[in-house]
Amino acid sequence: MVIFKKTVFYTILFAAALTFLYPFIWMILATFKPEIEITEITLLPSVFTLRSYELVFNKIPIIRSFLNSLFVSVTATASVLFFSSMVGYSLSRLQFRGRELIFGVILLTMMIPAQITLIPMYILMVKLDLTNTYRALIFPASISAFGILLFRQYFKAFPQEIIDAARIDGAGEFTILYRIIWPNSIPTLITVGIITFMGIWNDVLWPLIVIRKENLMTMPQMVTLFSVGGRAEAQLGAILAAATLLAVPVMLIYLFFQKYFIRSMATSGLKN
Amino acid sequence: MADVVLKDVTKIFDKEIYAVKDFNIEISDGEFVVLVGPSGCGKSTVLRMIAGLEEVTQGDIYIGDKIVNNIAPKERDIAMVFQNYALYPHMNVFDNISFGLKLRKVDSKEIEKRVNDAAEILGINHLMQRKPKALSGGERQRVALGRSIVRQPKVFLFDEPLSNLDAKLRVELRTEISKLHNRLKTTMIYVTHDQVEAMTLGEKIIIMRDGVIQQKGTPVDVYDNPVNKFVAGFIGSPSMNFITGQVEDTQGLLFNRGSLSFPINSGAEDKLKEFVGKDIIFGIRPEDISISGKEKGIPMVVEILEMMGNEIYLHLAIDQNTLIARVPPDTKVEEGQKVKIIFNFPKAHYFDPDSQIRI
Ligand SMILES: Nc1ncnc2c1ncn2[C@@H]1O[C@H](COP(=O)(O)OP(=O)(O)OP(=O)(O)O)[C@@H](O)[C@H]1O
Ligand SMILES: [Mg+2]
Repeated sequence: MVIFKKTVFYTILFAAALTFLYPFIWMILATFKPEIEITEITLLPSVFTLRSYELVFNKIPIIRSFLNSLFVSVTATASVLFFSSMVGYSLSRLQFRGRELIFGVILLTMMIPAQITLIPMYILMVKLDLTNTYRALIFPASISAFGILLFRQYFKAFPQEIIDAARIDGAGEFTILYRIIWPNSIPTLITVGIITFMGIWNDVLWPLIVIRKENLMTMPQMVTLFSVGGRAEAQLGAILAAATLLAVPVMLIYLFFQKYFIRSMATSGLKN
Repeated sequence: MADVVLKDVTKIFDKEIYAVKDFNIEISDGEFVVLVGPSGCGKSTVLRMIAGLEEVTQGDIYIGDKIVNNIAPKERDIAMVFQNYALYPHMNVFDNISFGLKLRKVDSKEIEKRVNDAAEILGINHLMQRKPKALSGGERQRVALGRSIVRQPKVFLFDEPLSNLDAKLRVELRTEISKLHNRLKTTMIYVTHDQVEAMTLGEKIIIMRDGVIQQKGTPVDVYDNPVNKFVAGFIGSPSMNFITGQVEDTQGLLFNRGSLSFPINSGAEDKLKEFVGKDIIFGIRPEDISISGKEKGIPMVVEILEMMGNEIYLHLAIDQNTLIARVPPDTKVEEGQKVKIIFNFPKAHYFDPDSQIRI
């Protein structure tokens, strides 16, 4: 009976996983097929070819765009971790007037759809003369309300006595945050880090608006322009290859940190 | 090394919670003072104000001859040991102990030396590379002690450092802290809700209730001469017996509480004269009650007998009145037995039922 139940359970799980994975597997395998085979029903290519990738690398500076994306995402993520944890710490651990009000305002900004601020943000970038710079990609993403919220919740549960002990030991607020609290908040740092990183990595709209120069373009922007523009020469294989290249780094990061990610979702406090 | 003085210190939380009220204490250099009181009476708040972790609402705190109200904790030159050890979970024992010194830019040779000395004293040399998670409660608290020793502070603050330990370890570390004080001769302020700890550790103890000091004095002094019923009941275990009754004047004063009535003959008659016809609280410690071998004495029944090994606690009752007596282990009594008891009147106390103050 137990075995039967388990079999049913795993069959359903497997079917569900397959529906999610199938298109993805199909896409990856399709990039290795000759162009004419792509629309066929078979999963495996009859001959293995890197034609599609060759086309991508020949037509667009995909490596450059990858490096651009990497630079922008890493810098902005580091900045989010640094600044959001700082704000989260002060909102959860320091006493000052207007603290709750500030927190309320920060929460409010999360409720405003990004589309509403898109045009004003663009105008701001133009006024600051930041269009077509990395800064236009990094600055608006360098602190996040979501990060602040998550850090604040987590830091609230941090044992007060440890903070007190550090303060008596001679630590200032920065030392307390970055040398005492950070090393004990690694799952939270990773969670905020991954979510932030993916958000920035996957963003297409904002780069499309502020970046026109090809050598500054981010990878998703480049791939999107490649797919919808004429340069793919309507070759489905090349488009899929570009999309695969785009997805791989994110997947690798996720797989690598998955353990921490789940752990931080499952635990919310630190015990002594 | 420094005196610690609190002058009219008051702490109000959230505009209305008086955690500490008009607190006045003078602790001289090198003294070991214990703050004791029931949970929530404001002991930790006093300590945290001295440490600078909590702001003072009113009044002044002096360490040495400086007012420290607006001085940051790290500049007060104090060290504190917490109930939950408060070790840094990500650092090993050595780093935990030396963290404060590193922040103060002490030379690394000097750090090494001080940490080793402290580890020697506390017997934790072999734990240096371990993380706090891999230590027992007693070891953790030793590390926390080490962390405070190496700083060589002017004042040590302890906030119930032994409450999380089992009874045996508690006694062991209590002795250790005593020895530490003898060796370092530094001012130490120790907070506990455990009156046994207070009695055994303190040179001076301060008993608090609801944020107000009830009494200050040596352990013997507060034990023998409690100022009010609260102190009398709080200090001592099992606690003092209290019986409310009426004072009557029939050829000498009589304490009347139905079946538990007896003549008052303790030399306290003069003070009690004005209470004739009024209620009064009679207080007697368990060890000041003895079983009479003769016909004399107040008749009571032994309800429960608790054998402690070196002594016996007798729960005595007559009608609604109950008393606890502490008698020698060789006393021949059984549960359910009728006995006659005698009070050691010179050690008895009398309290005004309205003000609770000792008469
Ligand atoms: N941050 C705070 N905000 C509001 N009230 C507080 C705060 N800290 C303490 N109190 C209140 O002040 C009073 C004294 O608290 P305190 O922690 O000093 O008691 P304590 O004597 O140390 O008790 P315990 O033996 O349980 O540790 C309590 O009534 C407590 O609720
Ligand atoms: Mg306390």
